[in-house]
Amino acid sequence: MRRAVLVGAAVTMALSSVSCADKARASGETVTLVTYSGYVLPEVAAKAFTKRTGIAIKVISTDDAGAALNRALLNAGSPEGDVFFGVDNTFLSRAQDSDAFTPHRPTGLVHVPKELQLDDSGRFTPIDEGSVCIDYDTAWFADHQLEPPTSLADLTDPRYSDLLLVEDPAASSPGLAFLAATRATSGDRTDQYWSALKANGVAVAASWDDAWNTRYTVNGGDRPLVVSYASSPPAEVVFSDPKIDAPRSGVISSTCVRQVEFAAVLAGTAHPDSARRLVDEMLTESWQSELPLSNFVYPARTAVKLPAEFDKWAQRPADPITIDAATIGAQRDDWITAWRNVME
Amino acid sequence: MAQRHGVTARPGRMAALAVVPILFVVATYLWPVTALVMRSARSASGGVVSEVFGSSRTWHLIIVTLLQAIASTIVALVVGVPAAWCHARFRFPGRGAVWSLGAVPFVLPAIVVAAGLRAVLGGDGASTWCWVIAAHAAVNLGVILRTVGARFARIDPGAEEVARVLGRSSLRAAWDVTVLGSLDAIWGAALVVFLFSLTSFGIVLILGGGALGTVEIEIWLQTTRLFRLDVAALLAGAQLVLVIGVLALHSRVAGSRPPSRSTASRLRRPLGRVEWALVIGSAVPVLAATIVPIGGLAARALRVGDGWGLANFAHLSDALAGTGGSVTALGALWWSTIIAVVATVLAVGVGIPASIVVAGGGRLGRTLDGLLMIPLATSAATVGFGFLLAYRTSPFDLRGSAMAVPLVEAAIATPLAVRVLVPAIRGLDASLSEAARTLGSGRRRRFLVAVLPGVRGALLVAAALSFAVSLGEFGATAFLARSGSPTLPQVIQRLLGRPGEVNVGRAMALGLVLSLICGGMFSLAERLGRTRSLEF
Repeated sequence: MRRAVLVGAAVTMALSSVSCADKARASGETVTLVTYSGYVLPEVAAKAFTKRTGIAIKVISTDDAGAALNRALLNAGSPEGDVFFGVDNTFLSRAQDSDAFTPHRPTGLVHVPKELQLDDSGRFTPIDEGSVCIDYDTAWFADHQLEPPTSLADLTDPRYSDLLLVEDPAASSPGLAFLAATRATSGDRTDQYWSALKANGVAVAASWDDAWNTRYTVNGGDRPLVVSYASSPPAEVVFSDPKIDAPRSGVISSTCVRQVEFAAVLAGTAHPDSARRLVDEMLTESWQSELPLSNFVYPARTAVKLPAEFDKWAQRPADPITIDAATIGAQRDDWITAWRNVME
Repeated sequence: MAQRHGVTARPGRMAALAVVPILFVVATYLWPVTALVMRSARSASGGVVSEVFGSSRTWHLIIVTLLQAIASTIVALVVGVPAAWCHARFRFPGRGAVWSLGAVPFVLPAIVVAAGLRAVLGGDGASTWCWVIAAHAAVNLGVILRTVGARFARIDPGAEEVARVLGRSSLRAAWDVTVLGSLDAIWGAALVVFLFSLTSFGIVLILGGGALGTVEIEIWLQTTRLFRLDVAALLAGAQLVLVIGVLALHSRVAGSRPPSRSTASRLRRPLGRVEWALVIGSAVPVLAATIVPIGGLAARALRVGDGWGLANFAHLSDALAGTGGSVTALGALWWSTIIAVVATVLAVGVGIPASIVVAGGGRLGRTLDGLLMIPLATSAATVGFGFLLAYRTSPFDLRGSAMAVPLVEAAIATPLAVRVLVPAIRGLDASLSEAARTLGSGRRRRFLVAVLPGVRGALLVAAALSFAVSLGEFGATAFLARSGSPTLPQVIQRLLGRPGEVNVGRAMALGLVLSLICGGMFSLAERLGRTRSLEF
């Protein structure tokens, strides 16, 4: 019996030393960035940061943005890393209501327009902005001699039946942004609009990854209309293999809704200094100027030079649908529940 | 009255033995579930109750969950009861294989069975309820086969013969005498299968591809996707009430589980077309339940492009996306193995004293028996979510602790280990121990001579079962494992969720490795240990 206790204690110690070893290696050396799957670390800027500060960056990502945030909230106080990136304006209030994040205001904020600084609690630093829009497969519409839709209302037109693919708003941040856009344009009649979408054969994908990379006609799927980003066309050109010189997708600009992404220091981080330095770094000119071609978003910082592909193929929607963050915060859960009631 | 068997102890010593198991159940089950119930009680004060139970969607979900569990149970009974009867009465080629393979799907990780079926069906999930029900039936077939089979074997074949002499057909005689005479065991096994199907997680998640919902899936969605902890806690609380109700029913109907007498010497060959048809007709689905998912995994894992090869296995040492480049599939296998070993040590360590107390009977034994049955029937999501709620404040913040996952796995494995150990302890020959005492042997000597040889096999099987269940645990681990150090089933789920042939191929290769480890170890242990398991 005593031996069993000793063995048990030894195993426990061995296990805890494994976890301690992880921490020891991290201290002062590695800062862990927790984010959503699909996030791409700006490599050049990250390497420069490591070289300059001696702090290595490790990226942990498992889920879509909404689910990744929820993981961080469930682990509030005992975080899986040091910095969280990927809270967007649609999920901001949920993050603000939690105790999972700790205040930090980088000095670089002075270069960020006031309209992007949506958090007044001093915890969430705007890093980039983009637009969630409906994209369409230009070749598919040309082949079928069909004009692409031009508005959200068009999507319920029988001519476009069984063509639209959206992401699950419960798990995916573009999905939720689209939900908010329909809410902003249809108001009290949103439920009817969703029912009409469903009657017109809308498909719901589990994640943006799944939607864009497997189910979109451009990438071998069967849906030529998909909720993605205004910056998806330049991404297609940059990542094309073999190279193409023009994007395959177009953007229906009247469907665009603005999305701002924030970074924050996780409460309970083992490396608070390194964590703050990483968030500071994300607002530097070098980091910001790499965002367009790594994550296909616009820098939050003003006066950052955009790459040629971006200037040429990405359109900054002239008049994006905007939704008040407080409204989203108060009603998001109800919207999602209502959406699930209609769609399932 | 305490039963007499090889391990006897005075009541005081029994109580002392019961301390560790009871503390363990309190810490790993009762306290987490209490935290969960408290959380749902808090939400009950808000408008959440009417939000959840006033919604037709919730009731639709509950009804679908119940219906699929009933359907799964019926399918498992339709296949399992004839197979159990054939095993109890006939000698036929492959009889042993049916008996041992029939239990294998139960120890295969649910996610692996689902992935295997997905490979057979093709596509990316989003299949129908039919396949979910088939998978639930396949996984739980072993429970019916073993529980009912052991009971059938105790019924004298002579009674059936008498009925046949009186002019009934052999099937009619079997029905009247054996099946109707074993209704308690059949009901007991059926209720257990019903509970397991009711709270199943991995199979519905993977086969359903997000399109199929049950209460269990909804608890997980509400927690991890919608962050409605109040709704999740309320649903988990409601499910718990249902589970406890069914368990209460189970304890009333299920027969006692005495060690069965072997009727192997009285087996006969099947006679005539009807009996042979029954033998083959029941053996084929039992064997298919194991062969189809593993075969599907193997075929998909070995397929590379248009040909065949081992490339998917070679990819297992690649870094997994999203883990900071620090975790490979092989690393996850290694890490999961360490965790499962620790969980097994805990489960068997707690299981031994618990089994002695349960085998001793009496009020203490019965109480512990019931206490240990509840965690087994509770949904994994409830346990995992409860853990998360219960151990989140210092100094008992287990989130991020290396012990969190082994503890929750042990909580799920311990009751299964106890189910294996108790019959073996009850079967110990008390006279052997007495004889040793009379001959002047000390306690240690008596243990080595009279007790250990009798339970060694059961210990081996209990350990193998605990290890397999821990290695494959998915539902509770999903709440507790860290993103940076995922367990093997989680890696499989993540790979299945990522687009691309390579990822699916890797997931299937990992699933094959996992199923061979779990199924192989369990079968080997049963063979070496000569001990039956999965009798409820």
